[in-house]
This record gives sequence, structure tokens and C-alpha cells, in this order.
Amino acid sequence: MAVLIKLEDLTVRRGRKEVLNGWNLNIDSAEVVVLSGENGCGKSTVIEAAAGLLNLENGSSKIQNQTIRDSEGRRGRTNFGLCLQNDCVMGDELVGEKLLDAAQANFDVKSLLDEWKLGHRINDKIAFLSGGQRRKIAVLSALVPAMISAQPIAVLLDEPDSGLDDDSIEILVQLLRDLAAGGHAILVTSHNQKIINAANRVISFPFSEKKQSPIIGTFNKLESKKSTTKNIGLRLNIRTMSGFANNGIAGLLVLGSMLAFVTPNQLGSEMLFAFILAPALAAGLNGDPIFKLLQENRAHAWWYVRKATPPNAFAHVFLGCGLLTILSSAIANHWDAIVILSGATLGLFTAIVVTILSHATLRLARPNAVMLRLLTPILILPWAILVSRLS
Amino acid sequence: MKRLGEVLTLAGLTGAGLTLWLGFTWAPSVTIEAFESPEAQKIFYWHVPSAWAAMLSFSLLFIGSTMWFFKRNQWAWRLHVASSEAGLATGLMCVVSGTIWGAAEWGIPWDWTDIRLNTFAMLTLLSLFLVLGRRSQPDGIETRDTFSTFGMYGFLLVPLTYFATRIWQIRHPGPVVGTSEGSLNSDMGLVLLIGAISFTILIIGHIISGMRLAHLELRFEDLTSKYEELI
Amino acid sequence: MSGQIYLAIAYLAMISGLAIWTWTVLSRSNSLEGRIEALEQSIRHGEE
Repeated sequence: MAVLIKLEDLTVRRGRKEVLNGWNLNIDSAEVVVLSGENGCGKSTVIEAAAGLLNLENGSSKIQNQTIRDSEGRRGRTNFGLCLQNDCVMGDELVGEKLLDAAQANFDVKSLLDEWKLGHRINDKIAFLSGGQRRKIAVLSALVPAMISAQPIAVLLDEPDSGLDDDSIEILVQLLRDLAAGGHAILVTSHNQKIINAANRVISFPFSEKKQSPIIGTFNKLESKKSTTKNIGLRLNIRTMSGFANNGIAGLLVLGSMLAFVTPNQLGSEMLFAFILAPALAAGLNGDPIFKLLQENRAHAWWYVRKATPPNAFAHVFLGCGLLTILSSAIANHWDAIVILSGATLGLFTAIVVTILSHATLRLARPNAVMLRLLTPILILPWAILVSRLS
Repeated sequence: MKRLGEVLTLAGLTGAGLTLWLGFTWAPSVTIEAFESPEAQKIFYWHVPSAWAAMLSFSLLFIGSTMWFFKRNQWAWRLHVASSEAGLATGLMCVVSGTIWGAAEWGIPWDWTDIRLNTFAMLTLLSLFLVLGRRSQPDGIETRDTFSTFGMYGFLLVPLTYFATRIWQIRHPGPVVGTSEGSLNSDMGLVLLIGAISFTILIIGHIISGMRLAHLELRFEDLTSKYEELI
Repeated sequence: MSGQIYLAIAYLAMISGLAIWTWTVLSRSNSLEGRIEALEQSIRHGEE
């Protein structure tokens, strides 16, 4: 039996506490392992460390022979399922679309959702679901990669039963056994006795292990076709108009404010270019419009595990800043393709820098309490240099 | 040892006071041909040493951040804490005095196209971000790792700031000390040297006191947890 | 404004900044030392 999940010598600190110290766990293909224990003992830490979401003081996490993270700072990615305690779904994603994105393939989503009594919500936004329904989507997003795969896949589930009704828990338990029958390896944290009974091994914190012989399931792989995932960020931005609401409005407000006191055709060369490029700078200072959406329910953590670059709408930022520059050029009656391209590029560059800074603070306990905007004045420098070069 | 930081701070403050006195009473004045505002030039005797002290603080910030990030050294974290506060204080002194001098000498307090002005201001804002940010978060590995990452990357601005006026002379004047193009009068240079030494001693004293303060804060938190377990 | 006024404002700002900073570090240290001592006493009583 191949080892699909290998956690070696894990030492993890959270806050000021050492939660795991030299912790080891191997999970073979076709195994369901449940971690149980009282609140705060470290179960979620094991899941998050295995998924590569936490810095490791020591040790390594390997999934399907790929090093996900180790204490030397090495990182990697592979296809596996993940469901955290937070649902990690953005409210503006559609129910069916979320599962297709999780699978990175086309398959019969409607039938799957029907089994979980969500078929009628396939085209609804996740934000309109109840808490329990949202939890079902989060759990299914983790299971779907395994459900469509003939190759054994690892699945990590952190308290998947939380918020689920009894019927859904029954379906989940059966699904776990069916996936195990298909060779997939599943690590679950739970207090629910039905889920515990479905395990091949139950590990109680700090470390006592009990082997069990649960029922054997039947794996029926869902038929699927690989699909090219259309840019999720751009899709969400079009749906929510987040780019317009944040970046666009900022640029228009700056333009409008300047027009209250400035007559563009009376401006000297340097001031004219400053006027034309200022809206793009303001728009760029709002960063990536998708970033705010990713903060909902900790969705960024789920996407971080899947892809090196999270969903973003930078292409739209580039276009939007270009349009703002065209507008300010029209108002100033100064047409220059180089200036318009400069505005678009300036806005994009500014947005990328702001987004990188924003992502850097996501590990903090209270990322919104940090005054990140204090670091953004440096972005005036490229604008000023551009203005002086153009004039 | 407990009072070393305070002794050095006091010595530094005394030296800074001496620098001020010498600058006003002994150092030669400059002419209207050389400076637009000859009287305001005397800001120089604290502006330059505070900039030097700030660069020293940012360098120590880098050392503390790096050692914490890679070695998990507790002493290094206290150095990060103390030097971010020192960098903020001296950076603000330099930026504020510089803008006032700029208003007097150039007619404008700031120039957004000057590399040195903006990178130095950026370093000061980075220190402000680190000081305020740390106070908004519970202490822990995530907080320390995040802020020391900023401390490490921010250091890229230090050599840029230092060399900026050697490569581009946009608004801020170029170096006058230690170069063949320098034109500093020797008496002024002496006062400036006293200022630089004083501010160095002052900043080291402050950083030692700051590290002791950080140690006391951590000790207080540990004792509070211990007391709560007891009750 | 004359150069002397700019000079005065600059030095007042720098002196105030230095003074406030030095005072906050020293007063925080003293206050913490006192609180630590009180806490250590309470812990000693609690352990007895």
C-alpha cells in the first residue's frame, strides 16, 4: 500500500504555544484515519500543517510523494482535497461552479448536488445558502478531486460534520468508505461517533491509536473531462463589479476632485501629465479587487494550497487604469498612446505591489488591524518619476 | 548592566546638547552665496546625525529580523522590537527637520522625484508600520515571522538611500563628508563628528533600553499566564 | 518666514521628539518593573 500522506517529525508553534512536537503520521492508500481529542489539542494544526498552510519549526509534510512543506522552507503543490474549519468559499462563487473549479474538470455536478439536496441551488451564489448548506459545498469541494480520480488522492477534512444535519452526515460517512475503497487516503478530524466508526484507525491526542474494521464501500468514479479553468478572478470581477466599485470609483473620484479646482488646458507640461496619470495611480492603490473577496471565510487559504498565484483580476486592473487614463486624456485634450500605456502600466504595477503587501499580512491573527496603507506612499515615487520623464 | 542603556542614553543626550551648543556658538556660519537660508543651515548639526542614527537602527532592524526569522533567537526579536522603535524616532526626527530645512532652503518641503527623500521616508513609514502593527497583534510566531519579513525586505532601501545622492542628484545634496567632492569646512566637520558620535551612543543606549523593555514585556506576559493558571 | 524661525521650529520638533521618546521608554520600563514585582509577589503567595 502506498503512503499517500506522510507527516514526519512535525513541530509546529501557533501563537506562543508549541502545539505539535515531533509528531509523526503515515496514511496509506485506502485508509480513513480520524483524529479526535478535546478542543485546542492540535487536530486542526495537523490538518493545516499537512496542507502546507503553517510554518514548520521542524519536520516535513508530504502528500502523494510531493513535499508540500518542510522546515527548510521548501514548498510544493499537488492535487489533493482540503476542507478547513472555515468554509473557505467566496460568497460570490456559484454553487455548481465552485465544485467544477475544485475538480478542475467537467462532470455531472447536478446529480452530485441532488444527492446532497442542493441540486436546486446549482446556479445560486454561495452567499445565499444557509450555514449548513455552505458547509456541504465546502466538504464536497474537498471530496470532488478524489471522486473523479482513478489515481489515489489524499483528502484532508477538518471537522467536516460541523453544521451538517444527520442525513448529510450519513451520506458523508458512506462517501468516505466509498472513496477509501477507490484507494484514496483520508485524514479527518471529528468528534462525531459515526465518522469515528467509519475509520480504519482512530488517533486520540496526544497519541493513542486504535485500529478498527469499518464497513467496506464501493467506489464509483464520476465520469469527467479535463477542462481549461477560465480565470476565476476575472469571472468573479465581472460578476461582482468589484473592480469598478473599488478601483474604478477611486480613480473617478480623484479625477472629479481635481476637476473641481483645475482647468486642464491651462496646465503646464508636468502638471498636465500628473493630472492625466493621477486617476490610474488612485485606482492602483486599491490593489487587486479580488483580494477582499478572498478574505471571506478564509478562502485565500484554500486557493493558496491549490495554486501559487491566487485568483486575481489584474488584467481588468490594467484595462481599467488604461480606460481611466483615456478619460483623463480626453478631458485634458491630450492624446498620446505612450501616456495611456504608461497609465495602464502604472495602475497595474501599483495594484500588484499593494496586493503583495496585503497577502504578506494574511498570517496575522488580526490582518485587518494592521495599518498596511502606511507602506503605500512609496508608490507615489513611480508616478512622480513617470510624470517627470514624460514631460 | 541593568542601567547601561540609561547611562549611554544620558551620555548621548549630553553629547547631542554639546553638539547643539557648538553648532550655535562655535561653528562658522555659512554665506548667502552658498545657501538660500544661511540661518536654517544649522539644522544640519542634528539632521545629519539623526539620519546616521536612523540608518544604524534600520541596519540593526535587519540583523534582528533575519536572526529571528532563521534562528528563532529571542534576543534577536527584542533587537527587532527596539530598533524598529529607534528607527521610527530617529527617522521622524530626520524627515521632520529635513522638510523644515527644505521649506527654508528650497522653497518646498518635499520633492516626490528625489530618490533619497522618498526611500528614507519609506524606511520611516516601515518602522511606523512595524511599531503600530506589532501593538495590534497578539505576540506569537505568526506575528513575529510576518513583521520580521517586512524588516528584512525593507532593508533593501538602506543601500539605495545611502547611494542615492551619489548616483542621482535630484534635490537632496550629495555627500560632503568623506569624498573628494566634499566641501565641508573642518570646524563644521568637527561639530558634525561630535554629533554623529553622540547620536550613535544615544541610539545604542536607547536600543539597549528598548531591548530591556521588550524583555520586561515578555516576562510580564509569561508571569500573567503563570498567575492565571495558578488561580 | 525667516531662517531663524525655521531653525527654531526644527530644533523644537527634534528636541520634543527625543524627549518624548526617551521619557516613554524609561517610564514604561519603570511601570513594568513595578507590575512584574507585584505579580511575582502574588505568585509567591499563591504557591505558598
